[in-house]
Amino acid sequence: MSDFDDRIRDLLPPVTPLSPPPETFARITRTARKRKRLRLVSSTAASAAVVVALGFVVRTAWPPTAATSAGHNPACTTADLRLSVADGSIAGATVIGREVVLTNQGPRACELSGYPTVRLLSSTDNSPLALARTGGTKLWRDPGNHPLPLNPGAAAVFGVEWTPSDAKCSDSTSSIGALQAAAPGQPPLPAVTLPDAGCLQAGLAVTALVAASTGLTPAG
Amino acid sequence: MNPPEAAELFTGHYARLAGWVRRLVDDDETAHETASEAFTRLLAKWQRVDDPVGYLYVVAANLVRDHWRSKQRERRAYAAEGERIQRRAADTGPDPDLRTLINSLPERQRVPVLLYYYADFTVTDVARLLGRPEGTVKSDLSLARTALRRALEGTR
Repeated sequence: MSDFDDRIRDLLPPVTPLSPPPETFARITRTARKRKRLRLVSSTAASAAVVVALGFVVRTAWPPTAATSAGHNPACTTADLRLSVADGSIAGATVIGREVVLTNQGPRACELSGYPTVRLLSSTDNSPLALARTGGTKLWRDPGNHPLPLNPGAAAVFGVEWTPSDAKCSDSTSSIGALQAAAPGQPPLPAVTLPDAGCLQAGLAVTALVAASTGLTPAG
Repeated sequence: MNPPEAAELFTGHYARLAGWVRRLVDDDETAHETASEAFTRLLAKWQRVDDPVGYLYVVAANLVRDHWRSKQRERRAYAAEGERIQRRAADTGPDPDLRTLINSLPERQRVPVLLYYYADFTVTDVARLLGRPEGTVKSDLSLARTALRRALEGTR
C-alpha cells in the first residue's frame, strides 16, 4: 500500500452502520421471490418454445441427492458428527486457510457428499461474519462433489480459506472468533474456536469433502 | 433460497453495507434503497453466487455509480434551467471533493476504486469480484491514483 493510498483513506469518513428499517428483510425476500418466479416463468416459456419448435419432448428426471442415490449408507446427520479444526493455519499469498475435520462418532456407517455450509463467527458477539457456499479455493484443489462413506470413527476433511485484512480490523465485528459448519443439508454443529484467525476482509471459500485418509491436495 | 442462511447474512451484513453506501450518497434513504436492492438481487440468485458478501458490495458499488450518474444528469438539467442554486450544499457529504473526483474518473476505474478504497477489498479480490485480470485492476487503480493525486494536489 502506498502513502498516497493512506492519504486517500484518511479522507474517508468512518463507516457508521445503518440499522435496517422495520420489515426490510420481509420486503426484500418478497421482492426476490417475485423476481425469481418471473425469471422462471420466462425461462420455462423459452424452453417450451424450443421444445415445440423441435418437436421433441424433453423428459427430465430430477436426480435425488448424491448421498441417497450413489451410496448405500444413510446420509450423516449432525448427531453422527464431531467438528474439529486441524492444528496450524496454512497461509497463501493473500489468503489464510484451515483444514476442518468431520468425524463420524456414531455407531453406524453413514455418508457425506458435497460442500459443507461454513460460517465464520465474530470474536466479540458470535454473530456471523461470512458464509461460504462453494469451492474454488486458492490453497487446495477442489475434490468436487462425490459420495464419501464414513465408517464409525472415520473422518472427512475440507478446506476453508479467507482473505484476512492487512490492517487492523475496521470495526469489532470483523474479528474472527470461531468457525461453525454443517454437513450438507443438516443443521450446524457446535462452533469451534479459531484462535489467532485475525480479521476477515472477504472471500470465504470452502472445498468439497474428501476422506481424511486421502487428505486435501494443495493447489498448483 | 435457504431462508435461515439468507436471514443470517442479512442480520450480519445489512447495517454495515448500508453504512458503507451512506458514505457515498447524500442521505440515509438512498443508502437503505441501495443496500435493500443489493440484497434483493442476491436473494433472487442465491444458488448461483459463490461469494455472497463480495457480490453485495459489487452490486452496491454499481448502484452507487448509477446513482451518481443520474444525480449528474439531474444537476445538468437544473443548471440548464438556470437553477444552479445552492445544490452544492445539498450535495455535500463528508468527503464531497473526493467523491466528485472519483465520479469524474473513467467508468472502468470507478468501481475498482470504490471496492479498493471504500470497501477495503484487496486487488486480488477486486479482480475476482469484477471478473477482470489482476493486472488490469492494478493498472486501472494506478491510473486512478495518478488522476486523483494530480487533482488533490491541484486542489488542496
